[in-house]
Amino acid sequence: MQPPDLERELDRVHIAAFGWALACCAGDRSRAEDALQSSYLKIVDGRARFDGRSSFRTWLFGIVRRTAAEARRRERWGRWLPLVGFSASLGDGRPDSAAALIRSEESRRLELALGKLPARQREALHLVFYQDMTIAQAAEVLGVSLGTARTHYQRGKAGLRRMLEETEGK
Amino acid sequence: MSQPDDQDLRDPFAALRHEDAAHAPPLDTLLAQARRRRPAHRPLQRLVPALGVAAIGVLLAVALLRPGSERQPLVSLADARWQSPTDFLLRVPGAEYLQAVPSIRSPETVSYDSLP
Repeated sequence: MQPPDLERELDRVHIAAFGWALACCAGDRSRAEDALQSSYLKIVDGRARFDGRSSFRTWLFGIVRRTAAEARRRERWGRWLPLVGFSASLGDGRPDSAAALIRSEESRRLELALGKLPARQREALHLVFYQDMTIAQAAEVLGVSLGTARTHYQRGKAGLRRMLEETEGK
Repeated sequence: MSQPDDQDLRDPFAALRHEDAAHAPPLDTLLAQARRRRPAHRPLQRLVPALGVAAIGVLLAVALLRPGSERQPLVSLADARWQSPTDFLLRVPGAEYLQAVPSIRSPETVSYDSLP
């Protein structure tokens, strides 16, 4: 894919990719932007190449997910190797209050409930409900089999409903 | 795709998507920031963790794979020769005569011719 086509494709899925980056970074806006920037840089520099085996969006989401995971690993290393000079900011993974997005009460409840779910279940639910993907597409992004993705999705749905009911009672 | 009876979950996700979309940074800005970040390539920063891990690996390998790495005693008791500090008291004059068995001439060699 040539650079102009690449940027056109990125423009088409950019808003959705930002939502996905937020989901991969536990709602932390600055980390999500960093992950998205690094992902785009990989694509623009040709370090990640789209081979057309999946849809562009699925491929991009896989890159964003891996890039966010790499950033988390770097932060963990940064805690152990402070002299190396990692530039990433250290945090506890919760949304940064300064960088947090303005949320409605309903969205805050949803985010809180999602935060209590295991990562894979959270990601499966986000991809299906937020991004309107099929479970097969979600499996592709998560790098798991269809059966595994379906299990994460079903358990995630049950867990999320339970969490939402609990917070509704409070 | 989610099922029709999942509307109770679909709605809050749609609201979340709507809020995120309103706050998404423009693609051009993000790409420009990404390109600005590109020259900040510090090879040492990439090298140091790798070197640290390699050094730890080498040290572990040396410690574990060293031949005869079982702890050796400082003094081999089998080879050591102990000597009493009061040994010199046993060295008495004429001790050398006690070391050797005195030889007595055998009777065949004795000549009786010289006897009266």
